[in-house]
Amino acid sequence: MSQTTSKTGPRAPIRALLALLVGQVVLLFGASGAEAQPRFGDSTWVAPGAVFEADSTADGPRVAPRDHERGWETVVRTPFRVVFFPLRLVATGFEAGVGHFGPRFLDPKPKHPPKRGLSVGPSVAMGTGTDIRLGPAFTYIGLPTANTKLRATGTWSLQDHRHIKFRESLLTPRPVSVLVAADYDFKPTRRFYGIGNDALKTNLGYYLLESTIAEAALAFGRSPLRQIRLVGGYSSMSPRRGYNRTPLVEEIFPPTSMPFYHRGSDNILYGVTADLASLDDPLDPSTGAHGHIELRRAVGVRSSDPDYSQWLLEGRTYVPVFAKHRVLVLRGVYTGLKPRGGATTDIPFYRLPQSEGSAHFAGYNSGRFRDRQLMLARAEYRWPIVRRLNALALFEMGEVAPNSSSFRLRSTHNSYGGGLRLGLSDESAFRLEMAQSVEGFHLVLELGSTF
Amino acid sequence: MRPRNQCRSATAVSLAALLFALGTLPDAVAADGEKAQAARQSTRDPNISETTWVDHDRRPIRRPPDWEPSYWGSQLHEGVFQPLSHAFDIPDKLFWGARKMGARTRREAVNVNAFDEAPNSSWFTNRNHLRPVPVAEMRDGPDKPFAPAKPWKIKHRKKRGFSAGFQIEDANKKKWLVKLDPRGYPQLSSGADMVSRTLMHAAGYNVPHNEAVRFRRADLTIDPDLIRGTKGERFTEADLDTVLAQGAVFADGSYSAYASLFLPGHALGAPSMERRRPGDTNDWYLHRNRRELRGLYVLVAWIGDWDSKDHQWLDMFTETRDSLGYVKHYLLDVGSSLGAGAKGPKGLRSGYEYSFDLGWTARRLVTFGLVREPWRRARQETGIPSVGNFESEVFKPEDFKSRLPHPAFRLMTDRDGYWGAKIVASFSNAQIAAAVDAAKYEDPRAREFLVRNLIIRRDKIARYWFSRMAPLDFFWMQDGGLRFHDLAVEVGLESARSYVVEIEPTGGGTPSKRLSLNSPELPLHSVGTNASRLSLTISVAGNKAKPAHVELTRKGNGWVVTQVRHG
Repeated sequence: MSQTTSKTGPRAPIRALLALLVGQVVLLFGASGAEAQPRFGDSTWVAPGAVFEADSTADGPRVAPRDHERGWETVVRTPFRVVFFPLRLVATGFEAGVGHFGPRFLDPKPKHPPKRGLSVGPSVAMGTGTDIRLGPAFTYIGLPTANTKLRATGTWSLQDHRHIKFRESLLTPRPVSVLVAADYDFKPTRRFYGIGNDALKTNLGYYLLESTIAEAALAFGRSPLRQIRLVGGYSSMSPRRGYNRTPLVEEIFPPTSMPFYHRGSDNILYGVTADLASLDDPLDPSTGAHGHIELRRAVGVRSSDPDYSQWLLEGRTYVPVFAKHRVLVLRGVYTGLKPRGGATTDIPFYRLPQSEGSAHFAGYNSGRFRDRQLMLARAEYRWPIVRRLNALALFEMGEVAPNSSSFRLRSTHNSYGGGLRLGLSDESAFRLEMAQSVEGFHLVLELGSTF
Repeated sequence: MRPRNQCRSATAVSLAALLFALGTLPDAVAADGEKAQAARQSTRDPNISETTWVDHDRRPIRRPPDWEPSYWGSQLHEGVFQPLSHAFDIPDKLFWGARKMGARTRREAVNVNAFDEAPNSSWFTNRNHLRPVPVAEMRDGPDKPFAPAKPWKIKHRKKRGFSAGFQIEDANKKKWLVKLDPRGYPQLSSGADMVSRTLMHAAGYNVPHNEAVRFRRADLTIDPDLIRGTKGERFTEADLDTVLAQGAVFADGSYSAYASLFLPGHALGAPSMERRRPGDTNDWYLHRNRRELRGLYVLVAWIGDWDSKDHQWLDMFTETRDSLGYVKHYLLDVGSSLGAGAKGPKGLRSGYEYSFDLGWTARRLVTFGLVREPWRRARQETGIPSVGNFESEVFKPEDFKSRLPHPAFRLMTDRDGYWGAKIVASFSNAQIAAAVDAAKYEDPRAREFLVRNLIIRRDKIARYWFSRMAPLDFFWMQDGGLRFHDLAVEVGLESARSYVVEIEPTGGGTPSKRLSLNSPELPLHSVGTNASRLSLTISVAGNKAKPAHVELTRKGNGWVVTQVRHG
């Protein structure tokens, strides 16, 4: 059959008959349907009738032979297939795994109100280096009242870092709620480089710190981002000889350079903390500001324990750079403590503000600097690369000092670098930072960052 | 060292093989290798006919086993591993280099007949571009409209996908899948589905019988045997309320949804868009090499079907006799199109970027986010709840991207694209309006907006593809001359223009000729040849579009068109 067809008109039937005689099936169709508007001309070309009328379940020819890869293409591809076969096997394994477990974990589930009762799951926490802690997490919804959630986790790492965390929130999200938190931490590989802004990197020593902190808060405000909290609690810290890492601090520092060396301290804490934020999108802010304040008074339980005031002031501003998705973030942190009379004006070295956690200096080891006061200023430029995953470029200046008048711009520890940020919730984010400083290149992975 | 050596030797072997292949295949390649091979084979095999308009792939077979690609596995494969492996596919780069040297290493679609068309099959039926679908039929879609009779008994929960819904049995004992429109957006998904499935059906694809419906809570009853989860607990009225709470409600309190009638036959599962269905002996062609799946790209770009993937299809085994039957392939669930998403208006990126788009990710990364993506430039937010996010201003037919890379789309050639564009261009304004009317939009702005924008997108598609491939088509013989249609002129994109024909006779010792035509007619008596065959290369004068190639064979005293190839 060929595509020879004919025009509708007086001679069309004759032409069709002739076409049939030479074995060509041609049927005539005008512009079918009064309302149809043929877009392609005046229907002078008419599709062969077989297109519309043939019974494809009947026996008949196929349009082409069975399809397979061209021989010469197979020849070219085969060596690469052999070489990359292990990778393909791995990928296939992943696909099979995701295909098998995907429906259970990734399929959308109907939303039901949280079920009352106990549930148990895994908990993973990341510290520095290989300090990855694993353990169970217990969640109890509805204890003691319907609007409460209790969460307790216990984790352990191969460095023998033990951590138990307890959180209970009562009456949330009402205007007035109660939060209870307790942490027990036992870590035999805590770092100490000395006190002061000029502490040497080579003076790294390890010690063990066992700490217990329990705190309760009466919170005013539904949102954690706009809330004032009256807090009260207890803190106990006890340094000891470390293990699992060398050298130990005893091998590097004389006891005189480490106030409260091998001496624990217990304190009662009380004060106020607050957050005040105005952000366009708390998960991934592009415009707005966020202020965070913590003011605490620590009273020694024993007369030998220190009394001091402690503060943390943090401010962030988010400024869009000619477009909402490109954001310049400016962040400043000022934290410190000041002795308040009592039997001693010494502050235990393990209670001093240090460059770790939310005050970590990007291009330096965690806990690298500590003193009575710490300042940190950061400029970060963020832009999205995949949906809510942002790339970031950062410049940071950090410094510690015994008092505020000792801060010097020329003494700051500067870092620059880049990384990734993924907002996980209004209050936490995943961050991967790669930063360079005079002490080299540092990579930090943070799950649950508040910045 | 070892892997590097292996790699080097593999590269060397491949280069040698490639050079060998390119050296020994120039004739086959120049004559479009696989078609020449097919033609040769067709002379041997009586079951193969290049000129057929019906690919007889519904021969009775035993029912193949149920099978479908795993949903999440294929997401990982198509979304991550495939783009990565494609980026590092060394043979592909070699083929690209060979193409620059003139070899045709790109594989054309397999199931294409001598006239560059996809014959009717269990996947596709030629409709609007060969014979316009009347407007009244257009509105009806695959069947005359009939909605599920109330009351509805809920038989199952909807298990897959992100939209809320349930399976029902209507008062006439017919089974339907009911999908609710997302909360706050009545007629968003149901409207998009009705418009898109109507257009896709008229284009030639098999679609289910869908109806836009509205119902009240009182129209529903729960099957007493319906179980909520895996632990045997009953599905309660409260569970139903939870499902309905996710749905959109009209001002009169009724729910907005669409109902899809269960397809006839046995559901085998979604087909792979890459490979054949295991056990289906009628399934001869790798799906990625099928014309109607490659060319589908142009149609999904038109309707903005941003969720095109394997699981948008369903294979049904239709029994004909004695437990024998055939597999029919349905395009389902085109509701994620136009401006609709499963949970509201579609995401602004959808249709412009893959979920994980290596290219755009890299561009954003290296430019510090200064590059301005098309979806940011596009004003997509229409403010019409039943339309969602849709536009035609920034839309570029060649840059449309579904959520996941699609194996058949990736292999699409200009010929496939032109074929798809020809179908899109075949829809008249009245037909488009009729398709939009199938959704029965309550908001008059929705109808006006969608008709206008679908027309603009149609014209953009036609303009783009018709500028890449000379849209010279539908060749026929009349009064001893060859006539054809210039589709760009006929759809009003171009004014009348002239053409250049290069004639290459075979046999008869006649020399080649080059003629200029002022109209789409070639008087063959002027060629004055005794040749047995003529190879014509017809291009638009002064236009860079790839020409059309037509082969005429002498039959008695006249000629017949025996082959058409575009590009």
